[in-house]
Amino acid sequence: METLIEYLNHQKKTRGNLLSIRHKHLGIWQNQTWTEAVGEVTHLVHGFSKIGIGRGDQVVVTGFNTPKMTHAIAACQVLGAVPVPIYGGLSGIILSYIINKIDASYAIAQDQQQVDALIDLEKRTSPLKSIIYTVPRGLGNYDPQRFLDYSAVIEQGRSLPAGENFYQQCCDAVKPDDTAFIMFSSGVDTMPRVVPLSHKNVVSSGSTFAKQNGINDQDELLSFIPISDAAGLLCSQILSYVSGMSLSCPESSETVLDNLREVGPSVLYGTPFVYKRIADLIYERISLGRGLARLFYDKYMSLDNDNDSRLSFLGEVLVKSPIRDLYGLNHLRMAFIGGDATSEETFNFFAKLNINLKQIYGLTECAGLVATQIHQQTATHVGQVVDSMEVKIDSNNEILCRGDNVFNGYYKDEAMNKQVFTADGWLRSGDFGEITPDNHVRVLDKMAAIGKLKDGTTFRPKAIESAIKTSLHIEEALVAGDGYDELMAILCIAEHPIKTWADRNNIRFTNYESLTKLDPVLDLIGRDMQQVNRKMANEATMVKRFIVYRRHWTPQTGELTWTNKLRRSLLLEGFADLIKDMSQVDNKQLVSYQDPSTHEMYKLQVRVVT
Amino acid sequence: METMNNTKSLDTSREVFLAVNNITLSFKGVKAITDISFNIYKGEICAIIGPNGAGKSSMLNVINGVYYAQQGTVTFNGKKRHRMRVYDVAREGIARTFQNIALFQGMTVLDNVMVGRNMKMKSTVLEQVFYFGRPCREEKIHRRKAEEIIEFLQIQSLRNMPVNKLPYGLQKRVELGRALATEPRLLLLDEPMAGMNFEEKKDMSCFIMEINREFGTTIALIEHDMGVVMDISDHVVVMDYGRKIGDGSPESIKNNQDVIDAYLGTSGDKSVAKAV
Repeated sequence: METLIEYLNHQKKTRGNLLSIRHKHLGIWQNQTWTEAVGEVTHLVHGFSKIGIGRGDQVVVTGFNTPKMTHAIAACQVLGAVPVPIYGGLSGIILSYIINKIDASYAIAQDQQQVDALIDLEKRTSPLKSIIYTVPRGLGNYDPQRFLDYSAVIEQGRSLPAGENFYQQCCDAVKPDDTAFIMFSSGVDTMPRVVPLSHKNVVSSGSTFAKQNGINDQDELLSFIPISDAAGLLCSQILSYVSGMSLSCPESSETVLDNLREVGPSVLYGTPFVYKRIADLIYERISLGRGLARLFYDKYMSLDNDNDSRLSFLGEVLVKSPIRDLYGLNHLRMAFIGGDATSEETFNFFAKLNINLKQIYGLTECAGLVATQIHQQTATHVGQVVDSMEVKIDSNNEILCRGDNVFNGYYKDEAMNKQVFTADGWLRSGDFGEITPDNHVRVLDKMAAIGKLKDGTTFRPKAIESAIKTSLHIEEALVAGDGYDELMAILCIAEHPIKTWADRNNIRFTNYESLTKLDPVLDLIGRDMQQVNRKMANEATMVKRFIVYRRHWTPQTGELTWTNKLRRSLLLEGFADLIKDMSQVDNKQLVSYQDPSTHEMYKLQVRVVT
Repeated sequence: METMNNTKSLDTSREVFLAVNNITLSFKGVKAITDISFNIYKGEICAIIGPNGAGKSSMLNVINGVYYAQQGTVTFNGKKRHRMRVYDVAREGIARTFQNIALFQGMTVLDNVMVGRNMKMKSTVLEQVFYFGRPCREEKIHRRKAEEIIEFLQIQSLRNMPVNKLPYGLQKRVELGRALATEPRLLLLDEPMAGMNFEEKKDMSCFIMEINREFGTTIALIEHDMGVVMDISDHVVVMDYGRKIGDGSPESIKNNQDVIDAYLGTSGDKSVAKAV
């Protein structure tokens, strides 16, 4: 089998009555078997073809992960159309940049928010032929010729007489070299690029991943990482189709943690951000605990796992298993973490809870998979190169890769294609790394991110940032210092822990911004930074100055990519003046700063770490 | 969200949904409402505004039968009544929320919304004790309705939270949910946005407009934020010292000199312009 569609039909044939996908709606988990899922896809194929979607059309798919989105994607692929998954929260400049890069003619959106964002764009770009939405709320007054309800499309498809034949003909016409998805690279150091992935690429990536990790139809995954991210897509629809694993889609983005507990999945994929969030929640809860609970936690969590079997058994029963149960992690066989650098602390914390995190390393250009940890779990490397790929390091220490997962080239961007492929067909990853003697890949940082202080010492900002982010009170950090005497950081505080801390210390505050200005909070962050510095081996990699930014960084406001990675080059550019001012003032002095989007002036306090 | 067209004048040709005729209400000689008449038209959002103590909440209380007026009548659903009785009113499809939140504090969000369904349940207390047959079937139907409201108000993540653990803005939303659960034809909202920040007000305004548009529910609300009032309402009634001093479309109210003098102060011109 070489296409996703062949796999889908195969699952229906062999696992027809097993659970394929489920979604919590109106408080109840609504299950669909593979037979039902393929049935819905068949109706959609008919409905879509009636609308006019056909071979080669690009269809923007935007929204949160739901069965409807998954089925719509499959239906597009059956028809030979190309789904383009886009993060549901996008609007404005980034969305218009993305839409202008492709030639989309249709869109499938979740709700009014996304439909409105797409309509907004149409003032600037050529209009889409139709937009199909899955949640009809608030869309009743829109032109019914162009804006179609998903369930109406299904009903239309159901009423068509053509039946199985048309569906089968379409499926047979899908070839392995057809484009299965158009993805966007995450855009950490550039604006996102258009990455077409063929069925061959994604099937190779998915089946290798499933085979090497032993994922099968008994497994279940909570699908909440947006499918606009290549690894998110790999670890939901693709993995499910190739292995028969079932997917559970959360009720809404706010209920992910509740749903995690209800489902108790056996496979989990998350970004370091997600795992840090779970770890922070556990820390916070424990810090409010008293008496025996606290005593047991302190005692058993500080033990090494392989110390004494009787003690570790007690720890498992009294502390670790109950904590895991609270967050639905008790049935986990595999917990994958990927998408960004992972700190040693996160690894250790989950290892203490007897959960082994496994890293995935991948690029959008390689269908989300280059290397993964199969046996050894550690933060220091990202594991072995998977069977379908080869990796080598060039003379600049850049990671190069080659194999079935690798795409054929960016969409309509010949100049970039010449740059990104070497003469003998290797793909430049843009990552700085090495291969350890025991054949594991180490990814150190983006090539473009590595900076140099005035005295010539180089530093890797990502490593320093992930060290800073081990502090419970710091959510995001941007380290700068290229061309300066010392390293500086712009920090975002973690709202929840700081609020809890302020409550307990009788510190008055109103909202997030007021917290960022309070002296006691800055003192607290200062102490955390001192601790971080103490752990640094090298004087040159210590952060000497910091400011606390006045609001959160989010994908919506543009500081983060949609997988919550820093848009480093963009931020460094935007903060260039601020960083310059920071380097020139004394401890506790204010520097002024203009918000790029609102053009309002703000004052931020600079702290020097001693 | 569509931008509302405020320039049109009030359409009085529409069906009158609720008519208040010459209502006078006094408490031991203190007159709260003096001889007030106005209409609420079918399918509109009607805002009642005025300074505090103007008698706005008393007016809502007369409409849904918490107070009985000494004089005057209320016509609703074709029936002219001197006294609106709370249970009749609820059965005929008038629901309300309160200025000070009146939820069951120890109960969860879901249970509070389910309370709103209670009126529609037909099974007897005894049947409910044994929970077999009819109450079982009934609960499924009502739970589904409650879940639809929870989804509509986007409070799925709070479903099982006790109400007293929620911040103020969300409690207001739950209270709206409980009122919606009775499937009202007329919804009375007493300061639905008091004490909310900008974001919360925006959310609440959206919900109110959606309820009006999607379910066709007629809404009467008391609100102080003039910006919100002018944005979402089709019809504004202004009260001062228990009397009606203005009645019309938002646009006409904005330019009504009596209203500007009484409600917004003599330098009102500027502040209206600013608030709107």
